[in-house]
Amino acid sequence: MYTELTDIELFERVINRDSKALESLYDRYSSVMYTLVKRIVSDKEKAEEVLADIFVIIWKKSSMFDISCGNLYSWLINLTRNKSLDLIRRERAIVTDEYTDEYENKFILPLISALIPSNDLEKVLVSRDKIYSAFHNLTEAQQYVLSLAYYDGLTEPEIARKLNIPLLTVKSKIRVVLNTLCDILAKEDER
Amino acid sequence: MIDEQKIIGMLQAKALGCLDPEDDKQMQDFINEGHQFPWDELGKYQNAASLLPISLSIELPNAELKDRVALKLIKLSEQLRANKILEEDKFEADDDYEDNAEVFTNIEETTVESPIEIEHDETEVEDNLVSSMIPEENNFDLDEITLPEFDSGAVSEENAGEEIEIDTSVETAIEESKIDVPQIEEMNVDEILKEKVPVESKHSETIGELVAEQNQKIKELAEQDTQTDLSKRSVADKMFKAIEQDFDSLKLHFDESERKVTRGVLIAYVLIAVLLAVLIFSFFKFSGDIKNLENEIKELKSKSTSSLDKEIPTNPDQYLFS
Repeated sequence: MYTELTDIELFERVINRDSKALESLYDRYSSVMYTLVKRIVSDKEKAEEVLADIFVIIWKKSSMFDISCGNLYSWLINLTRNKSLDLIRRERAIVTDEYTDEYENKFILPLISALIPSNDLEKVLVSRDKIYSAFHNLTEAQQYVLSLAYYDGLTEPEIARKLNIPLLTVKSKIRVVLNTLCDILAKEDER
Repeated sequence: MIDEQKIIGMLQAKALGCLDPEDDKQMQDFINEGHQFPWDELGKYQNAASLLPISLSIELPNAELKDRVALKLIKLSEQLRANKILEEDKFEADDDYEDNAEVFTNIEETTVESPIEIEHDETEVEDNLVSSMIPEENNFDLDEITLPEFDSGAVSEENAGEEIEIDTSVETAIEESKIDVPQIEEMNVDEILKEKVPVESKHSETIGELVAEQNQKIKELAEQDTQTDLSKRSVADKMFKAIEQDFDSLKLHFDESERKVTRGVLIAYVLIAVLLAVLIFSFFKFSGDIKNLENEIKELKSKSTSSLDKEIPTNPDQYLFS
């Protein structure tokens, strides 16, 4: 029954405190989310703990998601990334703020544009090969910068310091990388 | 004035979550100033950035993780419910304390009734806690899930904070009840009444009335206590009596059976003795008879031989003429 529902339909039920819907959401998204958490935190046990915490957040704060944007996939991926990076930053003592409800709302829950194109996991998985080839069409340097920014959670000045290159160079590289990725994806969609 | 083109140039970094903090502040100011922000452009980049994890080789989490998530959610809902109930009960308890304090501010024995009420509140809290922990009432359905080992350390920091709050509230309630338990003697109240009677003032009269009311309540409570004690004692006495009756009946049965056994043994002894006597008598009798008979036989034998010697004549001619 739940497997036939779209992401948004399923999440509407989660918002209405349907625990079976949350279970179905877990079955649907846990592998992708776990892959991302594992890539960020590296440790398997920590990754599992973070994923469990993320689903607790989803259950508690499901009403904070704007259903009208129609892109649950991006919201969940960004939530997963934010929570995983928060753990890393706390371990490295980069973040020392107390983890409160307010902190979670401000820094963990993602701020997604209301005008984001609608998307769901099924569509994403269908176009997985396109995304894979688009990412691997980037140069190694571009992939590396993208990796530092997205998976390691480094800001532009931090990347500049790490690579020992000017900040403006990093900024332009980031712009080019994401524009290139968008162009490749657009071309893949046209095919 | 922030350049719109500059803002558009920041969107990629914003979508990737790596925007320079200074640029982020500028962007925030731009939005707050009410400029037209390119939300659609940001949405496009955010969508593209969120596709990056799909290029990774997908890994599956441990199958037990689902159970752990379920367990966390159950604990969360139970904690929230318990906190809510505790807060409500604490609020009610505080109200009761305030009421008592207002009524009995001028009396030394003001703590007469408060401990009882506090104990009542505690039991309510405990009952609520117990009822809140009933698994059937949980929102999360665990029918198809086998629960893993419970790990209290796995609670998130936020939840840990909530737990501490629960503990402190319970501790304070118990401590207050312990502190307020008084040792009241009726004589003390009477003495105070006697002391305060000579003072003819409005305050003393009101105090006297209140003390009298308190005294009455103490007596009622004492009567209730004695009644409950008596009822407890009567139950205990009944139980002891019943046990004693059981012992008596057992003794009677034992005595009866013992008597029967002794009677039987005596009768057996008598019968054996009689039989022995009969046997002995018969032995001697038969042996005497046998001797007599033997003597008679001997006598007869001896008589028969003497008579033959006398009666048989020896006639030698008899054989010659026949």
